[in-house]
Amino acid sequence: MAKEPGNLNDLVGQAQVEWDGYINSEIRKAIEKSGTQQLVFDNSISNDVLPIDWSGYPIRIRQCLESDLKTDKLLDWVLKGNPLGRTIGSHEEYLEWRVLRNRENKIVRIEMTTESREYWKVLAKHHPTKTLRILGRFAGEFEANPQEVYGLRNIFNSSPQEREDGFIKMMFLNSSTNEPLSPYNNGEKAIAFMAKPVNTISAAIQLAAWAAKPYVKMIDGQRIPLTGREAINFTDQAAQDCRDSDPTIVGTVINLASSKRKISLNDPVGLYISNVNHKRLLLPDQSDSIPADWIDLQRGSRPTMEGGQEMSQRLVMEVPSEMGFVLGDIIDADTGRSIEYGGQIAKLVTIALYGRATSENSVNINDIISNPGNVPPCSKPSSCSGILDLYKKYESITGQSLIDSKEELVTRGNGDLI
Amino acid sequence: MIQEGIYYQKGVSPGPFFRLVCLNFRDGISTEDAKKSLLKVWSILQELKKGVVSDLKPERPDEPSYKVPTTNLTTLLGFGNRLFDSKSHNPVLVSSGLRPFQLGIGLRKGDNQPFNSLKWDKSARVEDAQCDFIFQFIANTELGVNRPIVEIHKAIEDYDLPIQIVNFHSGFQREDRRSWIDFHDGINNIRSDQREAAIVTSDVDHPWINGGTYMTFLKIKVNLSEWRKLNRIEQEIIVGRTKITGCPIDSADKVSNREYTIQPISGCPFTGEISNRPPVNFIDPPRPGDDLAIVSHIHRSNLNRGHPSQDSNNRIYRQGYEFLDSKNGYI
Repeated sequence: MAKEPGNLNDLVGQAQVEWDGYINSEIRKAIEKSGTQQLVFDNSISNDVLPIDWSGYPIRIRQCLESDLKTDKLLDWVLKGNPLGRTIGSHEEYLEWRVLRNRENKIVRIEMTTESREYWKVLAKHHPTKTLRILGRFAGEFEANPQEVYGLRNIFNSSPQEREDGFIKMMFLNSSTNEPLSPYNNGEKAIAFMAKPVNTISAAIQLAAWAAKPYVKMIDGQRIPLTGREAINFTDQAAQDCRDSDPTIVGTVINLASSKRKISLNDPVGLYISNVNHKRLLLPDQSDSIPADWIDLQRGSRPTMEGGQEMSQRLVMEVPSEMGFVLGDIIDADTGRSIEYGGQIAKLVTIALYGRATSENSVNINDIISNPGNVPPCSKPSSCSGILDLYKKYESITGQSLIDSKEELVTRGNGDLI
Repeated sequence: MIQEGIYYQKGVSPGPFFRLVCLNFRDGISTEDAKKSLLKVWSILQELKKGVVSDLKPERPDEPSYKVPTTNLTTLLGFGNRLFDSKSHNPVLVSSGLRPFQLGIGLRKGDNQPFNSLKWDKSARVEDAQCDFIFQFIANTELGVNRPIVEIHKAIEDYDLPIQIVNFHSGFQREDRRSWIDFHDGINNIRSDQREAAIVTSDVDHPWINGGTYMTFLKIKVNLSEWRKLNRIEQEIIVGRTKITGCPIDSADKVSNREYTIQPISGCPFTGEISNRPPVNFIDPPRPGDDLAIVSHIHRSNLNRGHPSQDSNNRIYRQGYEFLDSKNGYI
């Protein structure tokens, strides 16, 4: 039986069976479609757990906009309650967040999630009371309003299928409005799980399966595994180039596959917050880092011994009220900026998918020799046009534009200092 | 345009001697005075690269012209965090708004320093580690890297430049491609055809740095006495390579207290010298599926193995030099 993400134990009975069936079926389908002979799902690999990890910060957006400030503003963009920065902006590294501000527009609380909509669909279908309680806790209420979660008058008289349909309609991303209708997942009252269709467990499984092949290139007579970006650009992959997650997963899996190993995803399959670099955040007087316990990791298991895996799926960060300052007063030691945007915290968050691999040369398989060309730069206009257009819209709607600095200290060329 | 002194092109490698000079502008000067003094030093260094030094210019009609050996000297100028810091300069020299975010807010006193898994030398003074600007000199001889420092010193005196030399650091290259811990060093670096993509930065928020790059200077102290208390195989597991041949370790198992077995990757050359064309797996070994091998130095310092143009990869092009200092009778 497949475990629940984060080793949670919310599901019982039919829900558990359904979750197990879903994970098995997704992995089988991915193996069949991709034709990989090296990804397996039988828990037969007992070697150590291998983290495949990346940053939660949407680097692709930063590379196109070539600006930290523009990227941060876009990612937190909320228009009339619609979290456009999250859904279109976009939070695409298997981490989505909402930011709460006070009257002075300073950040007081940040909530981040890596939970999948697939899991929540099963939970909501079979366990409505538990669903409403958990959502209520996220929103600071005893229990969430069922109408706003399911769109149904009486969820207890509804069939599981009606609950599932209602939950999808309210809590999933609405394709016409680009936001979840429910305040419990559009950020108005809470953020429950990742809403973007690319941020799913199924997408992560597909990524791993299509990459689990021994793709190599020959350089000076030597075989070298393709990098993630080379594979995405020149072989069949189920991946988006220029993100952090996709090329990292693809590159890491190809690396394992090309050393002729069998690979499996670690049970429980999920996307996890594996680390938060809180030491980079300084108290307002810069005397020390903030305490680790100001970051509350939830919805998953924590390592109980050295070498164990961090399997949290939710992060809540705020400053205790007795401190007399708020999150927006905290300083990022590496940049000197105070915390004004959620993206600054996303930069400190590491997301992981856990796998296992056998020893090298444990599979008898021929290399797939590829001849990749030059990988196009991630900041080239064609791949960035959508993001640049979106930012123009953001500027025109919000009336905010960054004033480029006209000052220059020096201009250099050909060794001359002018 | 990338400055000289960053040896990223194919077939180009840094000279064997290195100096890094840390300099500050004197307190209370104007931005214009700072700019003029920097330009003066810069022009003197450009003359030096042609072999011309002021004290050896002919002064009498019967004296011949004379040029000092240039020894392939390269000079690199870098601006530090302090230059943009209003607390360090009154009046402000350069607006803090022009400070690229990646320069950070500078080192702090105490233990709370960047790279929080590193142990920082408590005796190191923060004031010595950050300055307004640096010059990096690389050349083929010791004289070649020392002379520019002396010429800067002379210029400061001769022209009463509002500049202070804070300190300088020395380095040299080793023919054996090893470090004082006796293991190979600097084996896995970014390939020459991939370096430019990893090095060059672009930043709309601070456009003056577009086309430039960032440099970090880390001086790493080694406690050789402690290191030598570890047995050979413990050292090898920490580094991730065998000591003599440099072969990467694929897996390691603990047998009993301080007793381990290791399994190197297949296909390594069996020699203590590194050939001109070692196997790719020797240089950049695949990530092992073993929880002891994966926390070794070589894997912790190269986590993603992504394409160098992937910003998130955070790969750093290293130009490493060995050094030897003495303090209170100890090396």
